[in-house]
Amino acid sequence: MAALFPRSANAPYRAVLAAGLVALIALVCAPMIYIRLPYAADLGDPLEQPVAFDHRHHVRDDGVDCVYCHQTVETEAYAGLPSTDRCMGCHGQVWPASPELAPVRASWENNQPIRWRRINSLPGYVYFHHGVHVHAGVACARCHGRVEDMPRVMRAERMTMNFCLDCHRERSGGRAIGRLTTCSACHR
Amino acid sequence: MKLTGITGRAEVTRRDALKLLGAGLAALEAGCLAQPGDAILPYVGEPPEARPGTGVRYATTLVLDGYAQGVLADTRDGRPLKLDGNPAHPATRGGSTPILQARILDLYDPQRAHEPSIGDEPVDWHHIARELAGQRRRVWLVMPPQSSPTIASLLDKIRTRCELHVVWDAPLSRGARWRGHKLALGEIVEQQVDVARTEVIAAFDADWLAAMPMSPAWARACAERRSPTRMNRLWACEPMPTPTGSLADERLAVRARDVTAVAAAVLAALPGAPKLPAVKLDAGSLRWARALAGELAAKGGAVIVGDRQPPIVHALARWIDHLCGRGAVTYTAPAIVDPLGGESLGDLANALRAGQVDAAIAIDCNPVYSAPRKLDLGVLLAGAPWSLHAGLFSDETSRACTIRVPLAHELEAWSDARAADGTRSIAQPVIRPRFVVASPIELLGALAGDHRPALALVKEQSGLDEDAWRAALAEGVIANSAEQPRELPPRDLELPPERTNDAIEIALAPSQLHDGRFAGNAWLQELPHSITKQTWGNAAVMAPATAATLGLGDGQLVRLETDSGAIELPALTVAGCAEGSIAIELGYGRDVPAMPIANRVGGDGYALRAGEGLLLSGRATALPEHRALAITQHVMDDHGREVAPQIDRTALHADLLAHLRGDQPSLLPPTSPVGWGMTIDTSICTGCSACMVACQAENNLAIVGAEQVRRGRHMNWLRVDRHVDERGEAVNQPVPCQHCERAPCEYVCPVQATVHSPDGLNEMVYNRCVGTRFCSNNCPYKVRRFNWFAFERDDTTALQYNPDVTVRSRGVMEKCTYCVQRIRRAEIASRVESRAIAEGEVQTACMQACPTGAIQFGNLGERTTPFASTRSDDRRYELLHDLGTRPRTIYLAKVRNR
Repeated sequence: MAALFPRSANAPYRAVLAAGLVALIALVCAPMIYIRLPYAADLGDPLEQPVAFDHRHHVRDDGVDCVYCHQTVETEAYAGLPSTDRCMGCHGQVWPASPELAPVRASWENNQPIRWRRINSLPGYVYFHHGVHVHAGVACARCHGRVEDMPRVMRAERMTMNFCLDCHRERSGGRAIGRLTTCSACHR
Repeated sequence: MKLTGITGRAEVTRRDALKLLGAGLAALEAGCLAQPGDAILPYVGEPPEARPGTGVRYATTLVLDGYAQGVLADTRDGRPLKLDGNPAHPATRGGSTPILQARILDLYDPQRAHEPSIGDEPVDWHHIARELAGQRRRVWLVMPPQSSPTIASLLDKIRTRCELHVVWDAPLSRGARWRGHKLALGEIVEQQVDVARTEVIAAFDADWLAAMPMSPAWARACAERRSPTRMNRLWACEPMPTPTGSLADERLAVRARDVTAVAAAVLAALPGAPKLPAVKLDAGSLRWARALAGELAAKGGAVIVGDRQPPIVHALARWIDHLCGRGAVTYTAPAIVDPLGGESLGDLANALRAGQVDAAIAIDCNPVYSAPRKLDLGVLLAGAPWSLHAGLFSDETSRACTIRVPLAHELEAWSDARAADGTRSIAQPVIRPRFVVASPIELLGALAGDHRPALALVKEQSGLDEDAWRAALAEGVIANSAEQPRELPPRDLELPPERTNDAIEIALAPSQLHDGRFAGNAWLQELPHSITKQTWGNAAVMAPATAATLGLGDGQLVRLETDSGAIELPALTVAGCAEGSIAIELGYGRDVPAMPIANRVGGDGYALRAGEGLLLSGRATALPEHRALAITQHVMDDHGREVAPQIDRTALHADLLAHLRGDQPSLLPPTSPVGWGMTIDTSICTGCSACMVACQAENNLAIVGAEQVRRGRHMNWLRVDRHVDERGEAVNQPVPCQHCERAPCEYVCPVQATVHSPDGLNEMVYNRCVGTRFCSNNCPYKVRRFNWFAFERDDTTALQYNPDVTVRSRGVMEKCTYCVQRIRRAEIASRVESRAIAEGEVQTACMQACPTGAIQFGNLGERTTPFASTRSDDRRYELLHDLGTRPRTIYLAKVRNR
């Protein structure tokens, strides 16, 4: 009986088989690669914020210290965001009529908080404490990047468990489980 | 297309679509990456005490049966999360009760009444306030007993405006106590006992270590006197085992109705006693009574009588106190307003029937449920021309009233109250009410035509200047406001004629739901009873001999009848009950469709009552049906394994328990004794179970329901076991994770989800757990709990979740962590403040709640704390020591003073 398919059909058939195999591998690997790209983690991709706040101007030009606005960063778990009060403390006099500051004035007048959008957030089972990290001498930029150079704030690091452990392992001197690398140091 | 739930953005961009695609296969990795874009809302104007993400603690006051209990409320970002006793308050002294701990859950109960209504029409609160202010004729007010000076002055103001009739509605009435004191002392007074100074304390049907207004403080004082070197003597006679009875050195099981004869026999045997006729008493009870009298006469002591005993027992006890008190028993004016005054529910029913009521107002009580059935109060109230009910929940009474007002939770409103020793304290709100609610002071203010806010009324009534007011708020008590104690001589007594009564005694008692007002609280419903270990319901509890006579087995239904009604309940036998007495706890059998937690759980003991009394006579008949009870501990015999040794004080010596501690031969590497540890003193554990509810509040434990409890799937990280020896004497033994040095669970976990930390904790890593349950199988202490289902809470009750503790999901094992979040918080605080952790700085939730200090936690390196001294105590032993697990939680054996 003659072959059902001509010999010339073999090549496309093999090509399809190979493509299928590649696709199968790609289906598993591509998301794994993708998720590791800075692109996926929004690194370097600033979010639109309700106020066009420029850290460059406040930190570089005016010399405002980080802690002036992020007040609880040295003592508490949360670094803290400045209250509208604090913005208006200066902007009541400085640029009081600037259209850029209209949302701040609206918040002040209506007693409604400004809805900033979160840049960095950790999963619920990670308990991060800003105060203890600042106290241990971890610079803000180690995790947040050079915020003073950002016209609009963006994520600088992916903040995976690996990212945290790099530092924690370094400080507890090796891979043996220590105070800083035991599970309950971060997960409770 | 909108997918706001996942990304927080309104539209799916190309980038998001790619992400979602990737997330499908890389779910595990994607789960580790947070999604940016959620809103962060800073304050507009920052309150001075606000510390985002860090707790702020306020002192405030809770009230039960009119008496104040000072608490500290831990709040986080404006939400109260946990309550604990206030160390500065005389009624709690830092200790807790299960109810005190559980009251935070009611605050977030989604079943709470939401808005004021008339009939089924929602109305404005101001409309109701105007109607209240317009009530100028015959007003009947039903409310629980009050100690609040503000409420007392408002009632006086109301009396000038209308004809006011007040009914103090207390299903667990203290009326007999007041009448007894009037009988014996000529005055209505409150008994004060200096527990720490008293050598002998006798309880006549009184659970004074766990269920009375001063219990946490008394338990703390008593615990100071229970170390083998300086030990008081505790006597108890009671019809059913109680926490107090479990600590007693000499316990007598006696029917509640025979306590009168016991008290009379004790008094008669004392030198200087008034002439009393001889009483009929069996030989054993008489021997017990004479021995107690002998000891009271020799050493001095005090007697505490339960509220349900008739006035004569209180009167006899005051005589005994007079003869033997030696200054330890004093009397103060009662903190309760008008204790024996007011009208009864019967008077209200008659007035309603005669049409002499223009307005009936029930505040914070549920008389339709707890009043004797024959009054038919529900029908009568429904026929009243104007009726208002203010309560946390929509219940039996609110159904009968036309106007319903949601009551403010005690943590939402300004108020004041007094403790049993008279100390005044302020209740300050710690959260803004989530619904339109009114507090009792606001309701009475409206009735009095005084529409000032409650804060203004309370502040004016306190009479404090600004500084003193602020100090009172900060401290939680108004300084030096206790009543002046004095001694009172008793008058001559006449014993009522004795009546022989051989009918079955039905002794009604408060339950962990108190009088039923906490029936909607799931934590209390699922809390194992401190004696029977029953959850989700009550039972007819009786001695095995009584059950044998009636032909009853555990779980078999029994029909209980009195002249007023009948109920059917499953029987449950408990060793140590008095023969011929059946105990029924109140607060169950509610008919409240709007409260699914409470609805039709257990049987309603109130149906048997004819009046105020809780001691009834009746008939019991066995029925053929059985009920499966939701019990968490079925076997209370330790089968000779020395799980909970009990020692007489005279037999105690250093090496008595040496075979129950120390290392065992092992092939495993040696263990290192550093880090954290816990010691549990069974000698002073009353089994009150406040620790269990505290753990529930602190660690976000799930509630599983009766059916799952029957399958043994309850989720308590800490349980309180009860072991009864051949003499019927009980040991209460709290069992949390033992944090073994050689932990059997760690060796069998295939994914390293349970591991040891360098500071000695046996850690559970939820995200590694795959749910094999090998660890639970291999745990000899059976303290691990598995999430068989997704037990997470609804959005409202989730507001109580402790944000420092992960909420576990389905398929994950969990267990006691030694409150690792508190350890790490203290470590972080010490590092931020550049200091070492102070000794005793870390307290677990159970330790903090324990009124007697039976649970001690600390670092093994500590030298100065009470914890440090327990580690070398002669009574120490390790649970299941022969297994060689080297537990870090150790126990101190129970010692009885004899």
